[in-house]
Amino acid sequence: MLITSVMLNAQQHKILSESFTADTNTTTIFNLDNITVALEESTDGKVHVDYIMEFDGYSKKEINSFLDEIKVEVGKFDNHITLNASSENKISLETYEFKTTDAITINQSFFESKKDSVSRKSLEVLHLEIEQNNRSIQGNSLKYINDRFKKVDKNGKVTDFKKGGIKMMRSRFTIRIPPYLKLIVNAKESGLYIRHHLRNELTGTLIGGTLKTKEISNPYNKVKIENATLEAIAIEGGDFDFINLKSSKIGSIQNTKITSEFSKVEIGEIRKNVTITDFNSEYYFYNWAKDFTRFNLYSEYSKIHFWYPKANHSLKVIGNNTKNLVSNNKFEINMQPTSKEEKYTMMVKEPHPGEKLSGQIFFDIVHGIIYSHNDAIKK
Amino acid sequence: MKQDIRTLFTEEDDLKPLPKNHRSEFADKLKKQSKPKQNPYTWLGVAAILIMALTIGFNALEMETKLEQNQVSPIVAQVEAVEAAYLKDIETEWQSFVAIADDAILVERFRKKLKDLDADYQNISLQFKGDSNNILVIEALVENLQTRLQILKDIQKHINILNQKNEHHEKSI
Repeated sequence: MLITSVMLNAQQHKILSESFTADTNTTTIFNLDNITVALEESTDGKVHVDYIMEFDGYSKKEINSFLDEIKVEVGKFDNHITLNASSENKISLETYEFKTTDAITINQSFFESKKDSVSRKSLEVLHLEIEQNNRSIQGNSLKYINDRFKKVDKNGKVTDFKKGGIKMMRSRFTIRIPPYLKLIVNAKESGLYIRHHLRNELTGTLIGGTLKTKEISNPYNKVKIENATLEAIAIEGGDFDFINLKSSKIGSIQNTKITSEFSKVEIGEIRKNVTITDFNSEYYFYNWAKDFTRFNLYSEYSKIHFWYPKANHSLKVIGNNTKNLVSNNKFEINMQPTSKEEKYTMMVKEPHPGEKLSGQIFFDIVHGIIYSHNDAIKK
Repeated sequence: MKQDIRTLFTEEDDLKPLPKNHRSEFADKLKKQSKPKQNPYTWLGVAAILIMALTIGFNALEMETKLEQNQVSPIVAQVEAVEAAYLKDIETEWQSFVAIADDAILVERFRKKLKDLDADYQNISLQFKGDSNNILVIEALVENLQTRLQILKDIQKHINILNQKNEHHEKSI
């Protein structure tokens, strides 16, 4: 009996292993549903697709049932490599399941938005925050679970889940691609973990799930991300649509246009030529490159946490019905308290003459709130 | 028939004397009684008890299974309770938001956003029905409800800040 249960732990199942030749005209299409995929760089010019699932604490019957519900097809036709991967069950890098007999309680306060004290984050700190979660959901899976849920026994006693009280699946779905392929991704409730500097042209839509990535750079990138979490070390080039992004982080951004709504995004460093058009999001602009040249923000009902550039810069704010809260909201500057459609110049800061200009900041804000933080004020 | 019981044990004449070997006779009788009588139908009794136990056990198992089928799992019950509480709060916040918002376009955008989020919730609920122990699915459900509640709270706070009378340090540009 003991031997059987030990053998049932950490069962590995190879689902797929295929390789395809590719050239500069090859297009790769990923259609993902409830699946998590890691992208890595291929160094031999081929596309390699490898999928292994690991199960901890599942019976053979349960494993077979899961495997039956995973559908993966990959093929090459007319120089297009198409991968269709879907699962009935939601699969992440690590997926946890309660045992069927457990009663649970949900820690609702964990899911409520935290009112952290807001302070400037350096680019390095933001990089660390992004990189620490690029290989697993959490280093400590029990903590991850116990933060969100607790076990309730028959007498109503609430306790932490213990090791062995949770079943776990690990997904090792790795696709290695050469840097010159055109990549199209249509993902639904899926995870896309890009573990190398992606120079490929990337287009597609991710609805639900997670996109975690190192630098993605290509001027032709066109990506829509909805109801998901984005964590990117850097974005360079392309157009991005963000809809309802949750606690998202971008290390640095350059030559990029973002259209967003209902999102929360932290940006470590704004570099050259960035434009954001937003409705009702919350942005954190922590740092500015020494040569950011021009930054445009067009927004309605947005909250902007703003730290001024350390280098010489200009700032112009136009719009109406906007407040500027300074020094942890101790001071309030009421900028054009009209909600009529007409826009006014609300704030102008000229650059220091004779000093090299790092860039111009232009805000067009209607019904907005700008939070200028303590350490944001340039002396 | 009345009799004084005190006289019963004083009238020695009525007592019969015990035989001399009464001790050994009594011991022999005891030995004979202690040997159990061999019943040829004992195994039938055992079998009957076994059958009864199995029948009771089977019926109990069947009843338990039927009970389990009819009962909502504790996890589903908990999620349903959380959902009901959230939906009530969301409705309250929605009414409160509509009452303070004087921008019809804003109200319409929020109505659409909440409708979209509800549609997403229905999709996740379908997943939850088939996979109710999956932590990621439960998380997605709670996050969806929390998002709806939070965007309503946030926009009201936003509107209140914009509408606030500037009581201190006011400076119009």
